[in-house]
Amino acid sequence: MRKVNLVVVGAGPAGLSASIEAAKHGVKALVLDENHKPGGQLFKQIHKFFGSEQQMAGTRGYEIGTKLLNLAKEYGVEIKLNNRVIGIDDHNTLAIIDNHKYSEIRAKKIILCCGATEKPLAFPGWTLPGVMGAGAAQTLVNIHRVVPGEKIIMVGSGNVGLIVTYHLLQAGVKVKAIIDASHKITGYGVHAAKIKRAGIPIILRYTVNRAMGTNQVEKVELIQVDKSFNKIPCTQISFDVDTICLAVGLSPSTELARMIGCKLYYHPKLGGYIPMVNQYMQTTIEDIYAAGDMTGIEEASIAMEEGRLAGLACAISLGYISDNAQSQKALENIRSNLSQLRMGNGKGGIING
Amino acid sequence: MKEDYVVCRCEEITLQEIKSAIKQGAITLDEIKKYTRAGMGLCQGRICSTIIIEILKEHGYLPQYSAPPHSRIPVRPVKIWEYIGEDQDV
Amino acid sequence: MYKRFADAIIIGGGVTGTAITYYLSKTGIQPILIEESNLNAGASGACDEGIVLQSKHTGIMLDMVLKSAKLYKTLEDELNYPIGYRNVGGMIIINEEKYIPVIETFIKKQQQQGLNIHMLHPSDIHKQQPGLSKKVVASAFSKDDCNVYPFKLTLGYVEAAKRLGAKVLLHNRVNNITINKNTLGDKRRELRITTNEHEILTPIVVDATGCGSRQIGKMLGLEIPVFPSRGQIVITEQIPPLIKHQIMDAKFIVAKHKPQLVEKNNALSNLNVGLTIGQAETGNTLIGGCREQVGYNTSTSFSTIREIVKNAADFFPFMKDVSIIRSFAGLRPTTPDNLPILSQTPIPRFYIASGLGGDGLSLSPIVGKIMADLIMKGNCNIVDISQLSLDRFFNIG
Repeated sequence: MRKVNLVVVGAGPAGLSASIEAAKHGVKALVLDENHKPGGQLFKQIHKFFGSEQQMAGTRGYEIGTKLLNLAKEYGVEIKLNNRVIGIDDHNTLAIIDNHKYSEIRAKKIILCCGATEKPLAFPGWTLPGVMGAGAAQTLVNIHRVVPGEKIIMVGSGNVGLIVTYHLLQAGVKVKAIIDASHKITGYGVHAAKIKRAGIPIILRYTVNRAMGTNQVEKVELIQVDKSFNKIPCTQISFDVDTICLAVGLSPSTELARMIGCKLYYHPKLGGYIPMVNQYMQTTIEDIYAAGDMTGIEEASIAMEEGRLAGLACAISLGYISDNAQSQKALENIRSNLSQLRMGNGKGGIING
Repeated sequence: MKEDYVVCRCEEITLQEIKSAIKQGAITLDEIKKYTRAGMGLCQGRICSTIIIEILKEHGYLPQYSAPPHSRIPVRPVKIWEYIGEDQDV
Repeated sequence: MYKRFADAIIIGGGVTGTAITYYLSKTGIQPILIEESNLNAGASGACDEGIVLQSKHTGIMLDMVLKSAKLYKTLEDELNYPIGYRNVGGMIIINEEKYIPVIETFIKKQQQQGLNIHMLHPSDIHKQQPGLSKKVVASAFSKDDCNVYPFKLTLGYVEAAKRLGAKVLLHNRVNNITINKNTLGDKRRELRITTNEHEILTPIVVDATGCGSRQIGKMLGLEIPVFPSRGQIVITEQIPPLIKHQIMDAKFIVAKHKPQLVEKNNALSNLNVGLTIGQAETGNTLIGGCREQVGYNTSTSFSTIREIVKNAADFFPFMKDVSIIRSFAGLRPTTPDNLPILSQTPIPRFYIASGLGGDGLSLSPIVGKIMADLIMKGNCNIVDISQLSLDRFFNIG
């Protein structure tokens, strides 16, 4: 069995940043990712990110991805793709399907950066073809260059809903409206303004009542909701659409953390059950760290800083840097970046655009 | 007629089936799974668990007070030939 | 804290506890079932669906399972609940010539005791179960083996018992059981059970907590020798109905009777992995076949899971193209002599129904009936349960 010092699960913004940070200090880091390309969701992001310069603000998401990959190469990070981690046991052994073949790797430290999956919204008709996650629609237009439909309604006015709407518009799709059950737009004003300028109505206090159609979505029926999100009878309106995009939040991917027995807690604003981590991004299990969306849904720039924090903490813990005032200060710097990024709104910072 | 639709797509378990399991005494994701099979399918609850958490919340059972379900190997479906290391055309 | 009375209390919401609750309710009393979390939280929720007769030793185990299988035939109607009963029949498949005489002797004794079982003609094996590897050189077949869906079985027992007046307290952890000194001369107040929500006085308590029995016994100062033995199971995606029968590898039986014939030097036998496989009505196949002494650990281990799927692919080559979607492990409550404990105890009217190993599902209705008899009549005419008494472990010499 191969033995390594550090395995990072997931080659998205958190995982790449973690491995780069650790490798900078001499740790040979191995990154495993189940996809055939690294970068996580970064390569779908064709827009410019906000935030401070340090977090590569003003740069487009896919460019950040390229920069991270170049850094990883520079520092000698090993990235193995098509590697599905299917289990971790309590001896820090990872069970992996490496390009369709089972193998095991043992690591001294493991950083889990497993990301998140899209949350569904259930309503009559939600299983009809044409109902899909906004992230899936984004992958279709920006990666595969295929439009998901011709007439779309976007459910959710958070940043994902607003940004994906804009990407769909750029791809020439007709977006009929963005709807949200909330009484105000939940994403950033600057994105919403762009959407409004494009003439797309944002309908608040409405939710999907049902989707209709025989073999696929042909029509969506909306219904008004009150402050407690109860449906108000006789307020239905409908749109002829062939696609309903759901941008109703993300759910942290915690399967591996749960398997090894990390303690989780429920945090609705951060997406649901998430592993408890300390100021080193260490979970309740000594050698297991976690960073990025799986420790709570926030922005890509926060995921990168969390990854760096975990990577640095592992480098210290593995003895590649001595645990002194200087290294503690380096950790403290990342923490202060994180709190700056998180200022501005309730939990996450105004970053990712 | 009461509103009904599929909640767990893998096992085709409906909203009304979830609700009657709650009535029978299932109050966590894991218990709902054992009463109804919701979450036992190919995706192992990745999709439906957030919907079921919302249904449980509506009935007063808050996820803050219960542990998330156990996770076991494999966290993704794996073909047996991949598992046992046999070559196959892919 | 709610104070209440009960005709009887059954602790444990697995297949054994719920069966006892149902059969006790049928006698006209109104028991309360207490369960720490929810139905099927322990071994009954981490097992396969097999009711296998042909794996049982002749004597009391085969006697009980034959009677159990008979009860199962009509149980769905009786409970008026879809428990997923299917009379699928079962095979014990043999891949080594040297195992054949062992199995032949084994089934001869079973036939004498009334089990419907025979060796298949070699040319019929692959017709009986297409897809089996050509390595299988012989097979026993019994049409009496069947399947039942444990999650619905417990619900069936519970719903039927409730209709007869039983109560079920879920999410109630038993913190204490004491003998009530202050009975006011009333036997019905003799035992007191305290849970996190209730205090209940009752004349009768039945411990059906499986691997929890030792702990429950300790509350009353009793030593109940029931220990966990872990069984791991792999579940596959849903596939068309290809595995027609409940199937078991002969190695299991041979290992018990002629252990010297089973090779000890490969990974499989060290882990005690012999194939068991069955296909549920949903199309999922459940593959298992191991026993490990690892305490109360219910996680699954990479090496065992791998051996289990290797074994499945070995006996059923077509399974290589099937995906596994999950593994799980259950703790089979095991006694030093591998026989269950269905018994009175030194504490008057405190009973044990535990230690059923991997046979809880196979035996649930007969265990329910035996315990109802023992409790209500003071003895049991169905089978001679003296061999299953708790004091067998303490009356040696």
